[in-house]
Order: sequence, then structure tokens, then C-alpha cells
Amino acid sequence: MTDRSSRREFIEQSFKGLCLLGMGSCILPRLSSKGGLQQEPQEEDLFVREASYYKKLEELRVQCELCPRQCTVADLERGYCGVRENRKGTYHTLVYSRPCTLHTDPIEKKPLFHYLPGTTAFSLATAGCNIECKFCQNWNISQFRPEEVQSYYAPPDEIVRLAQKYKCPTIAYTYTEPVIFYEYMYDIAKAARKAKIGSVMITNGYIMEKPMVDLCQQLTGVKVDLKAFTEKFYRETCSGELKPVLDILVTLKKLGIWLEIVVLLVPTLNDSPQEIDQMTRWIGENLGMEVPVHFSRYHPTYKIKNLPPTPLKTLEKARDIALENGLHYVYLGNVPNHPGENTYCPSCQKVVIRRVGYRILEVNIKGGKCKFCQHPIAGVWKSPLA
Amino acid sequence: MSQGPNFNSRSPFRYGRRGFFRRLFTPLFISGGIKLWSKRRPKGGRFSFPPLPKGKSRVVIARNPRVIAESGGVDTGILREMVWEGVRVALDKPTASDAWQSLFRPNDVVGIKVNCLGLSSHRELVDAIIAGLKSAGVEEERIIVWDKVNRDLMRGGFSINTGKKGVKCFGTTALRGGYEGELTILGSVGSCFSTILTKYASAQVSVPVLKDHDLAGVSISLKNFYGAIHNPNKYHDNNCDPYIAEVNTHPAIKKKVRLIICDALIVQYHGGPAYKAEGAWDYRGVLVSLDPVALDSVGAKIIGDKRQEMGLPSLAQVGRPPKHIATAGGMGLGVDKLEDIEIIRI
Repeated sequence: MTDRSSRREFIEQSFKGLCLLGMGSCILPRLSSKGGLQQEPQEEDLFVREASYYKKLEELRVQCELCPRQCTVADLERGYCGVRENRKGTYHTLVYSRPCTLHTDPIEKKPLFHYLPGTTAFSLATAGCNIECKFCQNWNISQFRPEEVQSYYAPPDEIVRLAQKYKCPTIAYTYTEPVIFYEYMYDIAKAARKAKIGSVMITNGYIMEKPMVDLCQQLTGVKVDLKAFTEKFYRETCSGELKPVLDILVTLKKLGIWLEIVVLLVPTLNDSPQEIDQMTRWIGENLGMEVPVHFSRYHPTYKIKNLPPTPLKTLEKARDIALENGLHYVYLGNVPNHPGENTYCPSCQKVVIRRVGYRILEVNIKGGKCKFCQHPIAGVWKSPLA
Repeated sequence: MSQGPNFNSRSPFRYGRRGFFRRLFTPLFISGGIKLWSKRRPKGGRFSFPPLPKGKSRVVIARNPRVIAESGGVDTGILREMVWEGVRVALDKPTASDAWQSLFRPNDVVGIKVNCLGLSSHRELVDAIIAGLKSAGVEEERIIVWDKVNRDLMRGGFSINTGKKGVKCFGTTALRGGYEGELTILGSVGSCFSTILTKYASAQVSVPVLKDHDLAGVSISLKNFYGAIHNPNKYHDNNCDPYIAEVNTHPAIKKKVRLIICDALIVQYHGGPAYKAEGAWDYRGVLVSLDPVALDSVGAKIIGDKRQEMGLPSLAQVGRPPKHIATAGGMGLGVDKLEDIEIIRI
């Protein structure tokens, strides 16, 4: 019996081994037109436009002036973002009408808590980003080039038509970094405005002042991801800079466009009470106490997988610090059912908007004021283009 | 009397178990044996690469003024002689066929990584390499000419071929699952690598072009594999250093790149990586080596000397020294110091 079992085992193992040997490590990819290939887009005709905000240099080089990175780009090369390319001394965007993601989301998901609560936003993104956050949740589109991801062809009028079709009062430019698809975003926002549809930009804020000012003529709201309050974090964890983002926040304040801020807290890297204190004091002094601030939870992803998710206590502590520094509207993100998701009247402290996750359960705001004590609640409560 | 299994006339075991497996495996062994124990397999058992000459890396520079005809086209016969002789000398073999056979096996799948961004690897050079691979028994259908995207390949004069017959030619992005799904972290680089490099090919021939680069200083063999990652645009700060060297520490590059043949028919000594006539030079040569760092070091010297001859500032003086070459040498990827490189001109 023992002899028969070992022979059977031997044959079984040999057969498996031969199968593996036959397959080998050099399997050629299936390349039939029905099989492993995908259609490369006809870029020239559809997605390429001359870029805005750049200047021409000598020897066919260009310098991009859209974001503070100010890439100097030789002929046939691309900027850091991967979606803008120099062709014989003219800089081009490669993602005009080339979204890789189209979706309808609750506006609260952006997160925008003081902007038309309970409505939906038609949300889109193209590939690319002008920084690289090592904890990026959307890295498989933000850190890829447009030809490396599946994309749609959707010109600006088509986006507006889709927003109307799905009854979205707002279009959101989100998921990756809309700065890098500036031209496309601008044209959509302009067309949307004519159709009385608002536009909100969900951004890292890493953009030069002039393009931001120009764009704000078409936008109706901005949410900025403030990654941290140290240059060190911006440099080492995001390949970016803090100061230009702070400058843009001040610019947005001056322009009077609706603004909310998100801070994603990464354990040990940007979550110290001292840093939160400095940040929220700065916000209060430079942007005002009524700018909503969301503290959001990090989850292991992309290039930072060795840290635990942000503890709830850290988020709660950050919220406490912000409230102590006088900020009126401070929220906790990614923590469903927590009281920190609700909006409280800064005067009578009653709940004026009750939320669970992205769902609105109760709204106690009338005419932009607390229903209980008539204190004004900052926000966009009716369509800004009506 | 013991009861054996109940064999019926239709049972696969009607010949007994031993007989069944003998009938099943014998054809497999025969056909497998033909492939595995081909007479072209190097004698002595396990395949191994020929050792480099002791103490130095070797770079062969093959030049012939007649390789570019008066019409401006490439003389394919002369080019093939240059390439084959360069490979023979680089490997110190009695014949070119011996050299090709010492590097490649018939059951290899060989990727030929060309560089088609701007000044492109010549198609005629690739044809000479394909002829060499075929002399080693590699069938055309097991050769893939590749770069990042189809558009660049076509711009470089290559015809896309994804059919079953002939040498294949396509870009990584044309392949479903063209990039690995997971990042490979190599120092400060974190990238998804082309599956043509990591999965489909068992060997690579790198065919860079000898050209300067606006940020890296030079773009030769080491930078050729920026075309194997999904996000090269993220790694151009600080003159692309240490990123170029780090990319080349990928095990698939270190182990699979068996030969580098640098296209120096036209050298871009200024204005690269795109082709610019005013900074281009009819060098009419190819550089051959097994050491990408040594080849880059020699190539950078060629560009540097030409810039000096033309009265141009050095690459360091214009803020783009090719420091990635020394970094790669420091990482053990090859020999970067010219005094340790044996340069043979043929």
C-alpha cells in the first residue's frame, strides 16, 4: 500500500512538473485582434490641443507656466504631469476631451458639505497629476499617462449634456488633479455655466495664480486638499511645495469663491497636534473662521502601506484643536455615523445638517440661516447660477 | 489471490497503470527532448553567459564611412558586417555565429528594446540584429521589437506586427496588461514595468541611440529603459539622477539584457533627444558592449569631445552632467571609469 501511494505521488508530481515546464516562463502574449490588444486612440485628431499658460524658449524648448513646477520641456518630451507634451516648440495638452473616469457622485463625496447638500455632481477626471502623493488612492489613473489608461471621447458639450441627462446641478473635476487638464476643465465649466450648471474643482491647489484667477470666472466652488503644513511633508511625501498652495488659498479667499479644505491625516507624518494647531490658526487668520475644514482618514495604499489607518482619536483630536482655534465648521471624513459628520450652528450649536456618510438625513437651514436661531450658515444653499 | 483494479475494455487503464503512463508520456518526452536537448544547446550542461574579459569592460566601436550611401540611405550589407564583427569582438569569439550562439538559445524569446523618441534606432540596424539572432536559432516569431507606444515605433520607421508570422513589433501600451499591475520599488523609483520585459521575453537586446538629452545630459543605454516604465515623466528632476540608475537595478534588466548595440550612425551631440540637424553628426558607427554603464561612459565621451570640437560648452557647464553614469557604476551595474574600459575600434 505504501509503495503504491508513493508511486502515485511521484507520477502526479512528475506530471505537474512537465506541465509547468511546457508552459515555461516565456508565454507569448495573445496578439490576435480579438485577443490581447487594445485600440490605441487616434490622438492627433481627438485629444490634442495647444496648451495654455506656457512660453516658448530657444531651441524649440518650452516652459510651462500652469503650475509652480514650471517644467522646462525639450522637443518631444513631456512635463512632470505626463499629459502635456512639447511638439516642435509648441506645448500641447494630450487629454482634451479624454476623460478616463465619468461618474455621478453625491456632492458630499468630494467632500463638499456646504454646497447644495443632497444633490449629485457629474464627476470626471483625466489621467495625470502634477505631484505624487505616496498615499494616493487613485494612483492607477493619477500616476499614469493618458495612453496607458482606458479613456473615453467626451468633448465639453457632451459632458454638459450628460450632466443634464443625469440631472446633476454640478460638474466636479476630481479624482486625479484637474490642474493638469486645465483647458478641458475650463471649456466644460464655461459651457456648463451657460446651461446654468455649476462647476466645482477638487484640487491640490498646486497652480499658478493667473490660471486660477482666470478659471474662477467659470467655477462656482473649489475644494482644496491641504496635504500638510510643512514643506518637508510636501517635498518628501508629495513631491510638491506648501507655499504655493497657501498662496492660492489666499487668492481664492480674495476672489470670494466658495471654498472648503480637506486635510488627510497620515499617522506620524502630518498628524502632530502642533502642526494641526499651526495649520488651523493660519486658516482662521488668513481665510476666515467660516471655511469648512474636513479631517480625513488615511488608508494604506500606493507607496505608503506600512502605516496603520488613521486612528479615530487622532481625527477627533484634530477636530478639537480646530474648534478651539475658532473654526466654525470642522468635520471628520471617512467615519460614518460620527457626530463629526454633522453641521452645527456656530451660534446655538444645534444640528443644522445631519448626515450619515454621504446621506443627508435632516436639513435645518432656511434661507441660508439656522432654522432655530436665524444665525447665517456659510455655504451655497441654492444654485449659484439660477 | 489479491483483487486488482476492475479494468474494463474502455478503461484508460486497460493496459495496466504502467502501460497507460508509458503510452502517455513517451511522445511528450520525445518531443520535449527534441526541443530541450537540441544539438544547438551549449555543451557542458547548464547554459551560462560567457565571462567578460578579466579586469575590464569592453566597448567595441565599429565605424565605416560607407555605411551611409551617397543617397543618404543605409548600406545594409556594410551595417550587418559592422554589427556582427562588433559582437564577435565584444565577446572575443572566433566567429560572429559563435558569438550570437553564446548569448542566445533557440528557445529564447528575445525582446529588442529600441528607442524611437526623437532620433530613432535605425530599422536596418535592428534587421542586422535579427539576422544575428536567427543565426543562433531564434525563430522570427520569438523576437519582439518594442518600445513604449506604437506611435513612436511607426515614427521610427518600424511596421507594427501583431500577427502570428514574422518578427513581432508593438508598444507596451498596445498590449492588454502591458504593465505589471503592481509597483516595483527600486530605491526612490516606484514604477510598473513593461511585461514585455518582465514576463514575455527571456532575453533582451538593448538598441539605444547615441544622443544628448536636455535634462539627463545623455540618453544612451541606461536611459533606454525609461521606456520600460509607466511613469518616466516623474523621474527627470536632478538630471534624472539617481532614477536612471535605479531603474536599471530591476532584476529583469540586470539578468535579461544580454547585449547592447548602440545606434551611432547619426549622433545627436546637441539639441537632443529630438532630431535636430544643426546638432547632428554623421558618426557612421555602432557601439557594442555587454556593459551598459561602460557603453554609456564611452558614448558620453564621444558626445563631449564633439561638443568641444564644435565650440559648445560641456554638458556639465550647461547644467546637465550625465551623473547617472557614475551613479550606475557605484551601484555595481557596470564600469563607469574610462581607464577601466577597454575600447576596441574596428
